Amino acid sequence: MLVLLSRQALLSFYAILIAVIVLLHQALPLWYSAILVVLLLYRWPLQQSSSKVNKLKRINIIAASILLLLLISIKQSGVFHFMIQILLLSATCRLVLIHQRHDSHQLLWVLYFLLACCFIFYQSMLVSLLILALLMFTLYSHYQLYASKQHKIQLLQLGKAILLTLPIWISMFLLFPRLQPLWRIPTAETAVTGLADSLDPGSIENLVQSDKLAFRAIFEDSLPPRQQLYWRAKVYEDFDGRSWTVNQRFERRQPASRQPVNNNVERTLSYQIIAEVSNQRSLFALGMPVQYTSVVRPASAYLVEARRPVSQRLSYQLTSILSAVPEDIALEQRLNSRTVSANPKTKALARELTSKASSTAGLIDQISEMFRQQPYFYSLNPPGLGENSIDAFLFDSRTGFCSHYASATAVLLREAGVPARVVGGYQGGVWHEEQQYLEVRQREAHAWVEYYDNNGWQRFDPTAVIAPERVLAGLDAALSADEQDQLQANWRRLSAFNYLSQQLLHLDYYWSVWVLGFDDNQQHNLWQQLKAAGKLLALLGTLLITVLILWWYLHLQRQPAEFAAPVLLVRRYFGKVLANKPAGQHFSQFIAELKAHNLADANLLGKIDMLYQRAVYADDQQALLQLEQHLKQNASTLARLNWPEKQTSA
Amino acid sequence: MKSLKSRLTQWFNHWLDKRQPKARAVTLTQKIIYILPSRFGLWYILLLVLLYLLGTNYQNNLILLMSYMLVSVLLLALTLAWRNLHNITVSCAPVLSAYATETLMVPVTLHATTPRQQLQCYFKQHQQTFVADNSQQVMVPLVTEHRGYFPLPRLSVISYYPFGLFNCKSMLNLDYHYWVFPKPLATEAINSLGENSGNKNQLADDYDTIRSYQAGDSLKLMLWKRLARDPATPVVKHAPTSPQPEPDWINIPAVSGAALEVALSKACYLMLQLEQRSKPYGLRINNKSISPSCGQQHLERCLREMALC
Repeated sequence: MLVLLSRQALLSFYAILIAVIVLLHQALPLWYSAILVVLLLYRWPLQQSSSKVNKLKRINIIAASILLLLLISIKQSGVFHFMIQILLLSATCRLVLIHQRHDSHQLLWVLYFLLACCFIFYQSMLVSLLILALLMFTLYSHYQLYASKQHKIQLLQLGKAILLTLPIWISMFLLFPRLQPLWRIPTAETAVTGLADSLDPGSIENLVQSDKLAFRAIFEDSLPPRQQLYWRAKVYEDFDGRSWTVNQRFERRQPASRQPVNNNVERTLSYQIIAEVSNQRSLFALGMPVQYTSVVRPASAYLVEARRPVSQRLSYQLTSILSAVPEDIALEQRLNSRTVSANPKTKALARELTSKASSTAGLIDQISEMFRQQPYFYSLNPPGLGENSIDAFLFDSRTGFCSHYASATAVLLREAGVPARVVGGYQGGVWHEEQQYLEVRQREAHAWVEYYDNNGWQRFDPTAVIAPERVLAGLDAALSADEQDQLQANWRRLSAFNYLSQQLLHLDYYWSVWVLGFDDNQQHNLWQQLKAAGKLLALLGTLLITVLILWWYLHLQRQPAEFAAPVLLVRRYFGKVLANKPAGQHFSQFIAELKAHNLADANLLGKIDMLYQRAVYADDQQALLQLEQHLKQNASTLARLNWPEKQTSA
Repeated sequence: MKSLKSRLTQWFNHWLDKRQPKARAVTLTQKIIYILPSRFGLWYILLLVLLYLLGTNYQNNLILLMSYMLVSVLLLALTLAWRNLHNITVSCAPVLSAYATETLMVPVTLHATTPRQQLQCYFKQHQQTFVADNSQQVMVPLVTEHRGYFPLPRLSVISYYPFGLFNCKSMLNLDYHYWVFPKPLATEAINSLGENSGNKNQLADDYDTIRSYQAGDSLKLMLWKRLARDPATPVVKHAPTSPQPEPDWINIPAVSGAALEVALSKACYLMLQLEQRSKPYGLRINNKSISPSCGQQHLERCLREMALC
């Protein structure tokens, strides 16, 4: 069957494909996007060329050479991106060649698949809605292919269709069983965001300049005090005299379940975290996590990590004990007591402090005292430091950000013989009371110290000593006005804009919780609730069915009756006598016969016959009313009408 | 193998007949509408499965949402496809005839209260016709092969609306028959005869008298103006100079097989020529004879006789 595609259909396919190319630009090298666009222009101005066979051959050659190029660059792009590139290539070549409706099937198929792939790259609400709109447009174009040209979609019909599909759609999403991932999916190599694996004296300052969201947290109970909100993400244990790096032991897998040391003593805290895309494994946890959801697993030093690098928004549930983290492996203390030969002045200072202090706690007090008493400053723009960075910071510049203080403190402690390490993560966050969630941005990035004492790694935050506002009220409070300006992008200063973007963020939050965060756990809970409410549901179901039946019945009633009203009336009042009327006989003839047998009622019968004729054939409403009246008044007479056969049989 | 196939088709036809007995007009009900996924529909279902796997593997709710949405679209397409065909009343024109090997255009009426989309009708798979959107009439081609009187084959009414995912089909057994007359075959002899009679007819152009109308007179000779004035006694032009032309007798020789076919074809051509010139003709066939006459009805009668012999 030959049905040519309309120009409109072709144009809408062009629009959809170009939108998809733009959406998937992350997976495409720039040169490849350019090639695709040029290929699309090949068909301009959308006319059917005569040499179709030639064209097919040409396109095939072009496609084969592009495929070769893609194969060469597969190492760079990775398998998943390669798949997307090939799909886009096939869609483009198809679109250049199609003429008939039949040809568009493959194109539509690939377009649907590519639209789904867009969701791997984007999950924020706005872009998702955009993709959804694009999907709707694709469906509309698809529909138009098979609908009559003059046909316009009517709103009522569309509404009915949506009403029909929406419940199926939603209930499938809520109730259809979900599988665990079946195979390891290839992940693309993309830029890593968030805390890096090494901590230079300047790295956190750079991170803090970013306004990007790191994660959101929802607490089952109330929000813990701000001083407790130290989100651990990375533990830095190797120090080379200048920067801290993550030890290799973090690359090893940890046993899946770890027994909590003493579970019933401390207060536990349950919370849900929705982590943004960071493309690294490390996730965020408070204190010592004891219960994990299946998407995350424990890492060394009581950290939490994802099973795969976080390439899309990830939601997970944790239960933590807000106490010092216990020792993870036996070697841990030795590992964190290593010192390097750099920073001689710091060594001397450490020796001096140790001699004054009697215990580890005393040493901590000494260090705090030092930072507080002597002229140390907290600044977003510390001066550059030399080779012996700790010496330069402690004795010369005396100005630094959290990473400087944490780094210096950890070195001091190690020189004094106390195992110590730097922990990177986030501190605090912005609490949204109305929406009940904590928003943690990159600007909340922080570094602090953990030292080993009393069978556990105790937390010590030197920044809290220098700038207690940082911990109690957030970064803005601790910075000077100039520095605050530095952090805020120009557009953020407009309050209306700020307000709008904040509202959007809240919407995005609900989107993450309700749509993105819905997992098999919640589905299981929903099933449980449905089972528990089984009786109620059965009741509702029966109610619904009764309503439907009633509606159906009323609907039937409204349909035109099989017989006209006068016929029904006559049938009702004449009763059994009417059974003697032969099927083909006219009512008047029948009445005439009746008159002959019932001479006494001849007048009445004549009157009825006359009214009946007028009601049936002249559509006389008055006559119909009179007929009904007459029949009603003489109901008993009519019931007693004689019929000869009856008499003979009796 | 072949017998199995034919037995299967026979069984299938029987099954169809049981579901839908022959009728002059058939209303498409649930019982006789068959919906099967088209090839594209099967690919689409594969797409749904793939999207579900993609969604679970990436644990991406949005892809899952999309796949479920496409599932609900599939279900919607199913119901829409059914509603597109449901409650259409199909009937066709009563008298159908064609000459052998000609394509008979069967006028099929699809009556529905609500507008329907992109319906296609065909008797044989490769000759589909679309129903125009604003008309309920469609001419469905039917290729005829041999002369005779045949029941109308199954009429398929099919629609791919709304997404091309489902092949919504109904195969109707309409209680109609059609005539296939012998194929007219031009011959020299008849041509010369035709010319002769043509000359005679041209002579008859200058009619000067009239006579009263007799059954079988050509309508071309009717005096219409007079008829309007006096409808009770219709008159026709009459040429007294040339006498009533001798009726031609068309004889079908008593042969069989290919020879009979050729004879019938030639006779058919001759008959049509004579009819065109309004010359009376009679038919002698198989000891049967149809007395000479003229006019459309007479022609039809003779042609039918030839179709059946």
